[in-house]
Amino acid sequence: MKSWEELNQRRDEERSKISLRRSEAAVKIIVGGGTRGIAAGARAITSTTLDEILRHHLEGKAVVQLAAVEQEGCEPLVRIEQPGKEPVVYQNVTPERMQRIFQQHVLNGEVVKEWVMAS
Amino acid sequence: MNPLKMIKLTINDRSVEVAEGTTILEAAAQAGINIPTLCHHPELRKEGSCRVCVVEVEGARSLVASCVHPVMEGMVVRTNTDRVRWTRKNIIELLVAAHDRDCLTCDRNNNCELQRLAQDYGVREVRFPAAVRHDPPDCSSESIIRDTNKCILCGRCIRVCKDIQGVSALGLAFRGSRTKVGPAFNRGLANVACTNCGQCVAVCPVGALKERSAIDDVWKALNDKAKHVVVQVAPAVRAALGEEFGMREGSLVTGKMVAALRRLGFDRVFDTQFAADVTIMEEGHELLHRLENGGPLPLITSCSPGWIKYCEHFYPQLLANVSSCKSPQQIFGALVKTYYAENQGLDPKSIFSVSVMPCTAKKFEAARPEMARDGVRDVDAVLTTRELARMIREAGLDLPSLPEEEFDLPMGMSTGAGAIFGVTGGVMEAALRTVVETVTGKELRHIEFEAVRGFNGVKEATVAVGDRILRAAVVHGLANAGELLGRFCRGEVSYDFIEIMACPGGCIAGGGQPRSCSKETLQMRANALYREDLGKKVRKSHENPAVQEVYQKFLGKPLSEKSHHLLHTSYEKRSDL
Amino acid sequence: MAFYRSHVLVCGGTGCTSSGCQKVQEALATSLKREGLDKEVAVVQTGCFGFCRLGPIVIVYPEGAFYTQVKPEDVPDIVTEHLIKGKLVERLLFKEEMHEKPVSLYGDIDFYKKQHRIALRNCGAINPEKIGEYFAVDGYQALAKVLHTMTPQEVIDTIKASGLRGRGGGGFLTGAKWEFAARAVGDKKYVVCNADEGDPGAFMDRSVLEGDPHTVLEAMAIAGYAIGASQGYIYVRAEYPIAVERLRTAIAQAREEGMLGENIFNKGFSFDIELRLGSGAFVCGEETALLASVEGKRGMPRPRPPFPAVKGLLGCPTIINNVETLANIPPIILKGVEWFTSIGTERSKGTKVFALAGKINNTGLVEVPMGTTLREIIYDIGGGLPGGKTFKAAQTGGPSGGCIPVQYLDIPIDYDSLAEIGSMMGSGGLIVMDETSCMVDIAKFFLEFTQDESCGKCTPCREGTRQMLEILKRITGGQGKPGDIELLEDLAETIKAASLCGLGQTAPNPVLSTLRYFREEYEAHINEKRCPAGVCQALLNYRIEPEKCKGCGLCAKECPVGAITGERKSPFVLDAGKCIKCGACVAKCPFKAISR
Repeated sequence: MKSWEELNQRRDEERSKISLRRSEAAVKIIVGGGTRGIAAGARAITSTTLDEILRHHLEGKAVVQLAAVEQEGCEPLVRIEQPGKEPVVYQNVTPERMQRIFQQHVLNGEVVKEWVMAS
Repeated sequence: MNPLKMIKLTINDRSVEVAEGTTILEAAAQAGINIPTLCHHPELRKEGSCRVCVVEVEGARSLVASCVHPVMEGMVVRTNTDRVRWTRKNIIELLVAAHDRDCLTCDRNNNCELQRLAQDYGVREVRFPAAVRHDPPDCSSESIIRDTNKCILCGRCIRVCKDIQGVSALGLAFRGSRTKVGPAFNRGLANVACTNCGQCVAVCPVGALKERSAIDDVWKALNDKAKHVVVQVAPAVRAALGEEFGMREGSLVTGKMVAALRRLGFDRVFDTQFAADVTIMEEGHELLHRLENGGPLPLITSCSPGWIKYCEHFYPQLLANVSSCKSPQQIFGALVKTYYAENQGLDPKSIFSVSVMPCTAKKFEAARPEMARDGVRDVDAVLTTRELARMIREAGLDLPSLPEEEFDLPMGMSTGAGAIFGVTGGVMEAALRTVVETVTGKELRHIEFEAVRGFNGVKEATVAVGDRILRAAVVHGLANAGELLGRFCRGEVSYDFIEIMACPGGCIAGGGQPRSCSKETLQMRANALYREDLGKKVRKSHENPAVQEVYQKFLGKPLSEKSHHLLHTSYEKRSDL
Repeated sequence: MAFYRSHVLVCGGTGCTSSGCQKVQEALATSLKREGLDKEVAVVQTGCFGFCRLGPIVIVYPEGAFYTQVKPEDVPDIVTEHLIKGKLVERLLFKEEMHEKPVSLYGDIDFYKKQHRIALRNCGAINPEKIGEYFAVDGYQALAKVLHTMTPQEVIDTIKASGLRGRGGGGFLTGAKWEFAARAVGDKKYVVCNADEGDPGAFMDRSVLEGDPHTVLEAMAIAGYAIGASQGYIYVRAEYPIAVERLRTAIAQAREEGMLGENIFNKGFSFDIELRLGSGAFVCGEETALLASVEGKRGMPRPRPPFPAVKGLLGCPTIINNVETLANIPPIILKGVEWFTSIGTERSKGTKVFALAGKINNTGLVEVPMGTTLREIIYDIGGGLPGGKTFKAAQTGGPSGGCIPVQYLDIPIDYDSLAEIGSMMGSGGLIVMDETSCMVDIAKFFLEFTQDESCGKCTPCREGTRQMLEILKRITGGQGKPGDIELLEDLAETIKAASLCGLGQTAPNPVLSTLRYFREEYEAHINEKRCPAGVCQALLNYRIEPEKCKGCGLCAKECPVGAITGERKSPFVLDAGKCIKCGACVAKCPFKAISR
């Protein structure tokens, strides 16, 4: 490395890899785990989410977390938290649905109303 | 550091002005104020370890060691406050508690720096339990005995061995109160690269280091009616022996010394200077031979046994350069047991040959197995100057009041060239006097070679020897020698002839001489030898009639087969640890 | 490139290594692989978290779940419950001493909440073996800033203005030291990092080296730029193998990335660093002894002046800074003087790391602002004393320091306040003592240490501490005589006034400070042949109090020498002549009937 710019670039790259340790993420995607969530396919949702993050280069900006929140008949659950906004919970998420939620909600800020869990 | 810049300070309310870089101790001395010291030695690197020299400096958190602390502008120093005296006394008391206090039977009784300090500071009781070690003394060496129970860890021996002699045979081991001075791996001095030069003995403030004494052996021989006891005395002895009897430094006591030796009961009192003249004949011709036959050059002198052992340990690759000629002590010894024995019709076995030397390494040299024939040693016992002084006192003689007497003939006859062997540059000068005249066949008009005199660590001279320019170097102090040889081995310098003396200043500063630390004393001892040279009728070795007679009647000519057999030797490579 | 949704941080400091973190880390890797999670969850080895009592420590992010005393057999639970199902493993979560509920999250723990981590900022947060993670936390930004925007004098001025003082013991102003060396004339100059941590119990330097080695390298390069040096040495003790390994790795990576070496950032400044391993002589923490050791000589101090800043390593101007001091440099450069001086007290700026040890619940490393009180450190962060025991004194400054009695629990701790009450900051060892600690015995312990570690060069330290130790042995052994206290004081003054180096000059402090605050304990030992704390064996007299003894006989059964006899159901009797004062009976007696 021979310049400050290079160093800054390196810092930003590296920071994105460890941002989840620093609670710096702009969006938190919480996948409902627990025994029921896993049985309903929460792991596939997690993988899809991770793929989406990678595809859209959001490493460092988005965090995926598993949580033991359960609601009978609604699994898998996905909760999206963004600072300054009300959290949104989606129910019966499939990998395909997750892709759309990602595209529409996470990237464009538009809630996918039809899948939002009734409260 | 600017030595011309003057610093003003106050010591005990007196204003003092000294050059920048001066220590408080030195500044105080200049103002006539004496500060006690123990680890300090004017010729050694400053250490500041014993803390006996502490003084108060205004503004300093703690007391400071005056021997290492440089003066500073406006400094206010007090050397004699209650706190200072009381701290010094406590330190001395602590040292005494850790010291083997068997003063009455100590070699250094009445001549011990710790004893004197304890006396000066009124240490009349020791409030602490004795903290003395109980190590057996190291008696492995032919030359030096080390008693760690008396050691006060001032480190002078370590510094002289490392800094001045470049040997580092001694160092500190262990930590805390278990700290002790010794050779590596707790070995004996005989089993490490010790050159036996005895500089450690010369600087030791207490009785931790002393020569292995030959006094008892010599008394025994003197009392043995069947023994014919002859003694030879090295040049440097006569220039220092007087100091042991309160005479002025530099007193030349040749005649009184001869008288004393005779009164001690020696059958013949001879002069090592006679053998020095023989050495010049042999070594001078060896130089000429090497110059004519392509070396190896430089030829390096072999008179100093400390240097020889140093070379065996640290520069074995240069052993071929060292003159094969024995030292004057050993040449003398060999001639006593052959030439002199034949002359006198004595059985060599009935002769007891004693030498008095300024040197501890001579004891080791005399004990070398190659320095004997058929089990008959060339030299049977070696006394240091200090030991001779003790024998003279023991015999109840008062050296200053003895008459002046002459050496016995023929081996007491010597030249001025032999006399100056005792000071650095002397062997070189003596050799040049003979070599130049031998080559040119003409008498030298000016025989003083000033360039090789003096106490500079390394002296160089170029001398015309016939149509050839001889490049000569003179070094003294083994660290200086090592440094010069290192440069030679790296090809940075080249010489034809090098004189090396182990001790700084030459034999006058040998490890067996009366303990003194000042350069001034050395200068006065050197002057005494140059006076002896000037006072001699004959001042060139090859003109010594007794030497000429040895060659005529016994050896033939220099480098003859007989002289090779008797007067030359060989060396061995030794480990550098 | 992979994206990990979770990072599992495993402490890889020396403390946790001893308690088995290596096995835990291996179990994690295996288990994650088995569950197919190795592409989703990363295992990261870090440096020390400081909470060493509860090692091995594992933190799982993004939640920040703080698991303590994790064993390899706990790993499947962490993986299947936490990482797969998202359920925290409650039984492994840290439980605060004072609270009922376990505290799940790292940031909520009292131990950490009250700390202010500057020197330790990256310890436990990044993988010390990856320079990339150091880059991620602004690593080498300070060096870049200095080389691009500051002159050497500006760097020195900044450090001077920050008021940073040496964290290794002396508390000398770091900036002033740098300035001396910068002004000194010399063809070559050197930067030396003193990583020869030697105070008993102190391990903050080790933690920084193990957890954040690059910060030391970066700070040394900055120092090199400031004083005009191109070579640095780190003198680290060989007893710190993990630190040595991490430093080696860090130096290699820094060279590879161009953070060390020729012409750094193309700014014409070159700097490189070599390691020098010391073999653990305490005295080598003293600057001139350290330099001698780096030069390959016996580690012994030499008199000053000349100071190392003028004549140091190989006779060249040299600065020697301690690890913790250096770890403060990059943040000062990046965040500025104002930020740094806002922390701490008037004359002691910033924070100090303390190693908590002794009779305290949360043993480990803590970093607090200067001026924090001892009470906050011991009770709020340290969790108080175990077993409901009463605080008696805290020892700070290691063998050079002293004891702080209970009346000073509320003084704000900084360099000057500690010196005023006869202790010192030292390198930050803090040993807590309760009523069962004998102050004469403590003083003896420290004197034994200094006597062992004295280099043996100067008389007052070598012989004086030996004789002081003899007197202390005598006192604790029941052989004390009237006049012993005065003799101790006499010797102490001589040693303080006349010793060559700081080790000797401060060696009497543990004795002087205990004499100052606990003189009556010395007097009880000497005059009444009694050890009030019940520690000094020779002074203990075991006795069964007949009114308390119920005659159960447990003590008699326990006694290894048959010194206790009696009939069941009536008071037993102890034969003092046979008693070896082992204390086994006291431990066994259910009625506390045996006094000593």
